[in-house]
Amino acid sequence: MAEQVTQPAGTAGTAGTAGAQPAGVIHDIGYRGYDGPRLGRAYAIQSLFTQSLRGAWGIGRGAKAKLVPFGMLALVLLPALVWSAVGNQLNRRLVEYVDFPITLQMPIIIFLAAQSVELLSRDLRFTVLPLYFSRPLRRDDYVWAKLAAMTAALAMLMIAPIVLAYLVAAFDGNNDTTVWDETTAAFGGVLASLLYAVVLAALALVIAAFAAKRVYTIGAIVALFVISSVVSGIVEGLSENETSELAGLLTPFRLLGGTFAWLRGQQTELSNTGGSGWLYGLTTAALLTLCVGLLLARYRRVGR
Amino acid sequence: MSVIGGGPAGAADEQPPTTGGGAKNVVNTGGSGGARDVAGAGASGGARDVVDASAPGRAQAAVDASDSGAAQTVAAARAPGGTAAVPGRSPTGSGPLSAGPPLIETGELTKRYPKGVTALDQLTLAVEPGIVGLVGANGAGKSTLIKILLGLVPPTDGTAQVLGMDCQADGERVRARVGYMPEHDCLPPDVSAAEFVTHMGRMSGIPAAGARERAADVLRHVGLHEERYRLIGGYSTGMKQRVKLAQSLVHDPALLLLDEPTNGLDPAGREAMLVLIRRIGTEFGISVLVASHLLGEIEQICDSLVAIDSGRLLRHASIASFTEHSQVLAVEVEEGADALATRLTEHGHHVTFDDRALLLHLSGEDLYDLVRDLVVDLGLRLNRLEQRRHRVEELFADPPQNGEAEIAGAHRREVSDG
Amino acid sequence: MTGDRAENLQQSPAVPGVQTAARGGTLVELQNASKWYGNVVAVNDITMTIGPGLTGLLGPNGAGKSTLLHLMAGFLAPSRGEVLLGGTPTWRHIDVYRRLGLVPERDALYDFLTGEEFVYASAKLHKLRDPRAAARRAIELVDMAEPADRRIQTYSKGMRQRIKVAAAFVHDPQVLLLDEPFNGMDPRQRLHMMDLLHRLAAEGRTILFSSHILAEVERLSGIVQVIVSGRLAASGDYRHIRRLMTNRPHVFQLRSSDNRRLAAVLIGDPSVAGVELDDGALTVRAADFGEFTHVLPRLAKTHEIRLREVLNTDESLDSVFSYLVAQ
Repeated sequence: MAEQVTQPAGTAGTAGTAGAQPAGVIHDIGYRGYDGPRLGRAYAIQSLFTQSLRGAWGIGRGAKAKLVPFGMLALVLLPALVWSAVGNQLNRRLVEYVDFPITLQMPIIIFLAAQSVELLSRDLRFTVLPLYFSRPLRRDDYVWAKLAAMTAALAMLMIAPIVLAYLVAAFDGNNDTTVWDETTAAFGGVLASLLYAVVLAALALVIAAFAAKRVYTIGAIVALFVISSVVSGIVEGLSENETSELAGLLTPFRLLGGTFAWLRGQQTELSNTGGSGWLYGLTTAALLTLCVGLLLARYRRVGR
Repeated sequence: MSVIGGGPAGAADEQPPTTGGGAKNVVNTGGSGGARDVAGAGASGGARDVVDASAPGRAQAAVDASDSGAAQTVAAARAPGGTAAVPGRSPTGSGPLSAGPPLIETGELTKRYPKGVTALDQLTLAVEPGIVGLVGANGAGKSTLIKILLGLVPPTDGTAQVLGMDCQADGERVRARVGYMPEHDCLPPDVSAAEFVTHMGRMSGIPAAGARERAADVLRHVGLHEERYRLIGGYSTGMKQRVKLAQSLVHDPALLLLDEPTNGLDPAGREAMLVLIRRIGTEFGISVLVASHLLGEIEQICDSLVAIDSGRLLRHASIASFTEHSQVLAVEVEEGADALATRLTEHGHHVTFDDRALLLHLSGEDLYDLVRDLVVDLGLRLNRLEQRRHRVEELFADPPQNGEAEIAGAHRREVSDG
Repeated sequence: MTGDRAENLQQSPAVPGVQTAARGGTLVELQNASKWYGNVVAVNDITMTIGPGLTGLLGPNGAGKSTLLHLMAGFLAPSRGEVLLGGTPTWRHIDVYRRLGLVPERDALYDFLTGEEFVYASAKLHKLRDPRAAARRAIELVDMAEPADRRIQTYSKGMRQRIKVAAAFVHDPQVLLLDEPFNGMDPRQRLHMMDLLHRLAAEGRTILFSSHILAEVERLSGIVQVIVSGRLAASGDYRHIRRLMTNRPHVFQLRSSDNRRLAAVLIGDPSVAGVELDDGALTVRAADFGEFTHVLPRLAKTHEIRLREVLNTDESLDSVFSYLVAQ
């Protein structure tokens, strides 16, 4: 028995060692077992993150899938380039780095809506989830990997214009500001972008996780931002000074701008929180906790 | 079984012996169905980390002279079941090889759902490696059992083990070694099969390069060739079903759980899928649990059957024992069945009709000659002469008193043989 | 061989489906019916008659079975030709709906309704005089009385299937068309459904059902209509169809007291095209079915060989179907 199995390999071996060229060999291309490494859960999470991040940028998909992400990238890079170039001429920053996300919010919202749907709704709609959950990956792992991927994709979209603007501004000879000043300012922008990215990603993914139809989901996410921003504007217009400072709580971008301003201890024109910065921070923390909690809860039930 | 060439350049012989639990000699596993011992998986799994590169949960080909000798005898013994005796493949039934824990073992396994539905009711099972059919009433039983075995659903009571690992406590390790093909559609249409199966391989912990190779190999084995680079959305039902199977095989599981694998397929697709499953169980050396409502298909491909009714074990036995010869002789003639029946009755045989066949109690060997001679005397044509077999279906033939088998009723029926 | 045989089959008076039709009851007839969607021809020039009793509708996926059933039910208009139910075209004749029920394959059910509400709604749609009673009767018929007051979303696949049959049957139609009625049913439910269809057919109804499970079709009814790529490939009793394939030798498996001697005897007979001796059994390819089944017992008797098994291994619906599809 044992001989039967090992023998063919043995004969092939002896033929080789004898030095004589075998007259002919038929190789076995039948089923092979897998003896290589099995990397387990952490690797699976990492792979899901990478795959999702690539998916968010449409990489590995057709050209059509790249239209939205790269289109939006162009729409954030172009203004950044213009601001920076014009700023150099005028010798001042037209838009603060920390205000890049809020200023560029429209393309960011579209990216967010379309790509969060891409990340979650596909697996829901085509009921792919049981295939994931019958593997070592846990339900929570799936959520964390997707959240991380969406955050990373979004951060890339928001940081790219900052980097571009920084490069143009910092290495322009005519500019009076020092490279160091420019660097710290840009670094603040990067940190702000990370905060925006994680909260916005969580917010959009929650919506994507509860709606199945692609178009509706995208619509719902865009509507959330547009309507909340309009409401916030109306509230601000109608109210007195004190309360108008709180209007920013009602719309995600201003909420996050305010939160970052509070964390940094320095407000800008676009992130005016008055003395209620702590309230902005608290709201953001609550919102993030709520969204992540809802996501985890949703994925404990779905796809059973 | 012609094992030729044995693996890539026959190089694998020199693999270092694995350390850890009961270090065994490892031989080349390159050959098709290359001697594997599924039952041994548990033994090694108990002592080793599954993530361990050199000991991937399944002990490869224990080549201890006595061990393998035993394997051969048992494998040969089971050949009448219609299987080519593949070397080292653990046979059905408890042979000397099955010293380790069984493939699947449950003890008093109970699952009740909040709305009062009892899906499993004190199910106690010990399933040996091979191709195992799982038949149950609709809705609850079989899907619940599969989910419990995957460690996805906690049982209300009792225990469940797969490959010697506890499904609840060790769910992750179980899932690393088990492949699952769901009943429903589960494929995204906008990726290629190659890409999707590779991704699923990585989700099972196979490194990127290995996953890519495994995906290509496995897709070829399930019969997808150039098509695998096209988007899944354009596939036929049969092709999609193959992709579903491929993703369950990509990480080389020790056990495959297939839920209604022929669902939605037409006769040709069905046959191809059944042949494929049979090959996975024999050539590939992977144990398979096939949940199906189609008893004919189970009879065709399985070595044994677990039948569950109202959450309880109705019967667990080898397929051969379900389909034993009965003492009924069926005779079909072209025309003149009535005349033949009359003559047989005259000879003192009790004759009943079943569609176009005459059924006789096979009282003795003489009956064969009597039938033959009467057919000749009457100038008839003999279309069929056959000792009837029992069918798995007889398990379910007696309808319960009132309708709802799937939900209520502890109606249980022991099968009466012969 | 293809075209010739199909015509043969249709003209053959021996086709049982047609025979039984002559006894009365409602006929479903297609006359040169075609259905196309743009360039996609789903049903291609089909002429067939379905009479009372059970008839299986077979064909590979995408052969046009569902389209055919929808044509018969009057849900689709034929692009060409005629589809008649009891002599009346089914398309745009409301009257037809009263005499026919269709059980579609897909679950276009209303999950939020209970089983009873669903069947009751169907009864009201048919404007029955006592819809409540009719619904109850139909529900009883499919053994769904107990779970009828539960919502359909809690039903298993088999229960959904049965409640669909109840809804299609609520007006007691003469013709019942079922698309994959056994799909998703467990073994016991399958037996129940087979039993139910047998009972309905025995009452003289015309029942056409599509299925991929050939073994079940074989047991339910030997009479089939086989569709391949929108064309009618064969119709009638599958055993009869098999006999018409004269260019394919019939394969028999024999077991006897002396296989080797039987082999020697048989190879000398002109009705036998080939003999193969495996261990335990003898495989014989017979050129002429009728001649071989006649001569076999005689030769065995003359040579005193005991015949223990005579099996015509390729006379199953399975092999007939694969021959038809492969042509």
